[in-house]
Amino acid sequence: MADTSVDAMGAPLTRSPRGRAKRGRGAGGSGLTSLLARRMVTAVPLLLVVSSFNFLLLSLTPGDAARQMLGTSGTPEQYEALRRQLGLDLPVYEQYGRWLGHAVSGDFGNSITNGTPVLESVMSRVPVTMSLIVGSLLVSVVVGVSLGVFSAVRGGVIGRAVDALALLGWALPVFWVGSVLVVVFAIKLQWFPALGYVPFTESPQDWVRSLVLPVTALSLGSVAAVLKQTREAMLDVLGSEYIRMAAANGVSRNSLIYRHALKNAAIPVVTVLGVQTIGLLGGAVLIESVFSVPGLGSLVVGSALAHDIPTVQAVAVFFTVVVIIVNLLVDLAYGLLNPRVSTA
Amino acid sequence: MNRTPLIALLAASALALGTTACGAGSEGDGPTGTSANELRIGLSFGPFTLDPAKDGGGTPNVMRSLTNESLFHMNADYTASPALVSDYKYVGDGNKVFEFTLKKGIRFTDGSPLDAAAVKTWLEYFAKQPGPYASTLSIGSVETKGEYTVRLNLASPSPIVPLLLSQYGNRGALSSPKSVADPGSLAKGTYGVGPYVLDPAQSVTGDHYTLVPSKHYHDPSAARFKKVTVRIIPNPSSMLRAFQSGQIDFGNLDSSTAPAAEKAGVKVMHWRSGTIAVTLADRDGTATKPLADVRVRQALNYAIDRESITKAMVGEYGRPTSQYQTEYTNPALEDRYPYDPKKAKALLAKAGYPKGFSMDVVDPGAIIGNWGDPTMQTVAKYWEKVGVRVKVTQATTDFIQQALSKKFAAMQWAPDASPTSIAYSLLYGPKASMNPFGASNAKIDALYHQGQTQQGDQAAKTFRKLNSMVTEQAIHVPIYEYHIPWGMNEHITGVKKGSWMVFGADLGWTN
Repeated sequence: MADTSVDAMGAPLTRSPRGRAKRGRGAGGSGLTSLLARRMVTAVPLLLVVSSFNFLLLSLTPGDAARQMLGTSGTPEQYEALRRQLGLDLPVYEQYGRWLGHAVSGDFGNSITNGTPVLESVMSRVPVTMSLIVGSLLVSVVVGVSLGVFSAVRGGVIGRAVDALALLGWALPVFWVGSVLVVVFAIKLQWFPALGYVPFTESPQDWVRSLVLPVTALSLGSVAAVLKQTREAMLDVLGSEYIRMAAANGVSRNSLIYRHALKNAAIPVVTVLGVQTIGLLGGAVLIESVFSVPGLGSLVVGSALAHDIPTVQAVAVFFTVVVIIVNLLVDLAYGLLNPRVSTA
Repeated sequence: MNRTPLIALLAASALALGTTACGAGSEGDGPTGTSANELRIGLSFGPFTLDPAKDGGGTPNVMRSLTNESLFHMNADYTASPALVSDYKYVGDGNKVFEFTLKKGIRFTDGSPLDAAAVKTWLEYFAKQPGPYASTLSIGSVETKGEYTVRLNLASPSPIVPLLLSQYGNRGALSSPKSVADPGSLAKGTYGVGPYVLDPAQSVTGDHYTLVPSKHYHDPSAARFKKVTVRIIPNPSSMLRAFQSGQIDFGNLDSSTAPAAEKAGVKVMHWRSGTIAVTLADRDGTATKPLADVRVRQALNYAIDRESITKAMVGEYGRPTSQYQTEYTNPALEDRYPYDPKKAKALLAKAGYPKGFSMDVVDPGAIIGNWGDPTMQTVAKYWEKVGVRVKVTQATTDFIQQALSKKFAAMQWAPDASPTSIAYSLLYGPKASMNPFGASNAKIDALYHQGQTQQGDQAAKTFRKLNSMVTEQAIHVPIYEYHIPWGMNEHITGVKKGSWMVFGADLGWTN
């Protein structure tokens, strides 16, 4: 597997992809099968650890669902009866065991608070959160890589200015950026809605409009990380001997930048994108709150406050699966970008 | 370098955004392109569950009032008027048997008829559910007396049965027998008697709910909108921005955002919704002996400057008060405990605590804004000035558990206003749900039991005495009554100022 160590901005600590490439079989054929098999095997203990740790943490948080449901009017007898009904009187390991027993067969149970099937709630919100994440990734790649290349190639004052802006974008809190965007573009200019989400199936145009501000706010930090990493990697590659040789041999500047340098610089950028994708999952929780977007983030926040353990567990499992898939895709991308990087 | 590809890329992105934005503006009716036939409501929190038997109260009842008309309608002055009921009476003396007759020709939103059997099914279901209001009407049995008449045999007397069958506490929010037979469906939809019904296809639980007119409501003109959208917006700043951008027509604000909403042209109304108070739970002195002395409890009341605290915490969206209850109060006691630290010290000295004492208090933390920990910390500073040292513990979602743990002599909280009968079973009775030390007062107990068997003016007189005694005995340290500011656009009419919630507000439309 490729080295994914990163610095504070999510940039790989190893700059030169060539320096850490291992000779191997690439991403194709049995290498890919082996990679998938290994990831499947490691995914199981990972899911167990995450779900059990999550369950334990939720059990340790103050309060419980029975008290939340009964409020101040519930008598001690009612409270105890409801605890028994919900299984909250059982030891934590037994509660977890019961949950796990059902979860392995795809039954994540019903929400403790509203009685609706958890899987139904989660799946109805997946498209919303994925719209935010995928949209933010697209913006990060397009804007981050473009400005990173521009900054590296152009250099000078403009290059440094772009670099400084990237740092600023990284430093600004997501919720603050979101609030500013709403004030300017929703309240003053009335271009976009201040909150809410419109499904694509309802109106593609309104779907885009409802995503513009949250995606912009969410992707700012990610754009900064990708920009910075692209710039560093491009500077590294452009300064290398083989590029100088190619330039001396009359290869055009465009070809040097986009065909040779950018491809080599892409590997560390892919690493950053993997890290950023995972970070975006966390950012989405904040953004969904600011923009009142009905995604997994707002679901998990509301469920955690209500001690709705089945719902929080299901979201945690989903997020873990996403992280596993993202890491797998990053490894596959390494293999595609540079066959000398082993996936075996 | 040839920069064409990069510039083209950025230009395309800008064009795409610009086109989208132009699309937004072209609808010509604000950023959301709303029509005059839609009512958009914003609530800071939504229903826990759509099953009224398991749900709590508060702001979600704005939505429930549109989908579940109740047997009686609770008015602003705590009285109840018949709604789905044509006639009602107590049978015999002692308020133990209550009978009512339903209006004829009324249907639930699923088309099934509203009759005595349906009401019996609903009330029996309600009483058995683990809901927050299940125990407040102690039903012994429910009988049907003919097709439309229902008789309630109560396990203990109650003079407020009509109130308990109103929208207060959801008991009166009937749901159809079919839905009761399938509680899973009750959690996903609305099956009441109401002008609107939930459209599950256009709703996301916990985020937004879309209501459409019911085909079976007996007064179709009551459904003035073709669509009502209820959006849950927990973040107060987001709620304000929703108003400012014209995305909602009606919703609850808070004291920090209401002034900005008014500046933005939103009409804001507010009225009493409850009391912020420190309840002296250990008033028998079980663990904190000084609290057993009424002079100590009164000293704690004299020691705080309610005017200053109210101004600092909620500004104009609240009012200082020395009385905990909101009904059957004595106006003469409104300022029973003016700020007088010297008197507080003197009372403490007379009680044998010239150097004060220490006690532990729990509050609901910052989760309820200034109503929680900030207010308690301020009160604690005032108490320190007269020698009472307070260790304040912030709770969160475990507030009730903490308050009932017997670790704390007092609890600072923000309960909704509730009728005196309910307040007794919540706070004053020896087995009250929020009376962890089981403290009791024989005179208060006697007044409660007397009032429960009386009616009308007699009951009011008795409960007024009870509430005066609560104030004189300084069972609480009331600080200020809290108001929920409701924002509404110009075209919203029929919201009556003075009702302690907006239950049953007309939410009319004059466009």
